Amino acid sequence: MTNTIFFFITTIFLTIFSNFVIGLKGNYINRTFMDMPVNLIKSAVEINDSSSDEFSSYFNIEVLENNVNHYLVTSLNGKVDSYKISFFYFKYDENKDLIFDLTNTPQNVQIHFNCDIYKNFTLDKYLVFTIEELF
Amino acid sequence: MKVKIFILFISLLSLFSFGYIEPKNSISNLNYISETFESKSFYSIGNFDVEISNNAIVGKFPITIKLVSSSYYAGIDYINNRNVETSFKEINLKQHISQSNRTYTLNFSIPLSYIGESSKITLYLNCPLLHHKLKIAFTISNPKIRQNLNKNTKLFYKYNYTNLNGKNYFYEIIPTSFINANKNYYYYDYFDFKDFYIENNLNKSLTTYLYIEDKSTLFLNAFSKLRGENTDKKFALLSSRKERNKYYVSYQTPYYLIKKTNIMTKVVTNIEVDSKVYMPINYYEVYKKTKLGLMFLNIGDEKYSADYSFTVTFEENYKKEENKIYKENGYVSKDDILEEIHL
Repeated sequence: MTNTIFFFITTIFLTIFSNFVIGLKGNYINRTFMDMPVNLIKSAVEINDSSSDEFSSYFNIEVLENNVNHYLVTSLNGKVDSYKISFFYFKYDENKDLIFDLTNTPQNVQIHFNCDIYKNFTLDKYLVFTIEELF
Repeated sequence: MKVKIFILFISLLSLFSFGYIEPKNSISNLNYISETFESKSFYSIGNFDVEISNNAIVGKFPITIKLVSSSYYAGIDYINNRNVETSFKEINLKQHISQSNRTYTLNFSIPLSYIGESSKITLYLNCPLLHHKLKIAFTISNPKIRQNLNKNTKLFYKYNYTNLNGKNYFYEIIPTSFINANKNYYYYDYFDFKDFYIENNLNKSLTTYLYIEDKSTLFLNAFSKLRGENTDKKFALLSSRKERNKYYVSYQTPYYLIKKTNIMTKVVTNIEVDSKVYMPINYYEVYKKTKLGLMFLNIGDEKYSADYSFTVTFEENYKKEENKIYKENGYVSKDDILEEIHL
């Protein structure tokens, strides 16, 4: 009877501890992605002074993707072996339908982050960044 | 039984809640300094770095000894919270290195509680039999006291080099090479060296060049290459203005700024550059690979002592203040394709 209780308690504590460790790790990864500094994105904004359009600011795609990946690789080093990411540039047409933005001057981006924390535990998060001109 | 399950549930809940009070990722608050010094005949010093980590100033000072028959003393001094210079550590390298060309790394960790609002950290290498001393000193702000390090932060670096054996040296310092690994994700418009001065006891002023080292050609509009030098380096000759024993440096010929691109040029425009190095608009990529430095040519065969100070000013790009970036959680589409990145 004593052995059964001991086994039961040990199992519970081991389960709690492993869940706690997985929770900590997942929380760190989640926080790293969700707390991505806006200035990281801001530093990828370029201004097209020669543009006749009203809206002349846009994301430099190469710089933005490099910035984000550099940040994630630096922050997640030692936590995970790999992660998955996608950059989805989009805009709205006249009918306000969402369409891909295939130009080199996008103003909206959705970043999709996917990462295996532990075996079947997967983190799947999205962030959307948009530019608005103040002047 | 129900009570036990309830207690178990509460325990689990409280354990998980610890995860949510984990300290925030403080990557943007780190400082990183790296510098290379070399005296080929006696020793060489690799990239030394200093950063603030776990409430301490943590650093490494790698020294490679070429001539093992002499004694070398390496150590660290710092100014403590009572404003007194204190020895933190000193070692005799001979006890650690017995063969030439071996590297010893002096590690140190000075708790932030030992220093006040700021402190001067001095790394030194003393070779008494060779009449050779090297001191590298810099000041560092205590983030425990000064929190706002990101905007308009000024970092002050002071290098002191004493040559007592009177050899003619070709000598170079790279005061801002730490930017290579700076982990702040803020952007910078320019580096300002307006208050930069050289203090020396020479009878003549130094021929000083400011150089920028990067693989792009963006700075060739203003700066030139020098024959016999690394082709990635672009130089600008500096002139100096003497005040007592201090020489304040500035550009010898005026440079101008193309505002649209932030590129410097010799062509006269309405914006004159005053003791600054502007970073071009696409600077983030350039900046990561850029070093700013000073080079002194033909210092002379006299015995000399020279101090160098460098102030770097970080400011936000004024143009980008015209934009507001909105960040939202959630998605607009799931029609995306994930790409795997291996760390």
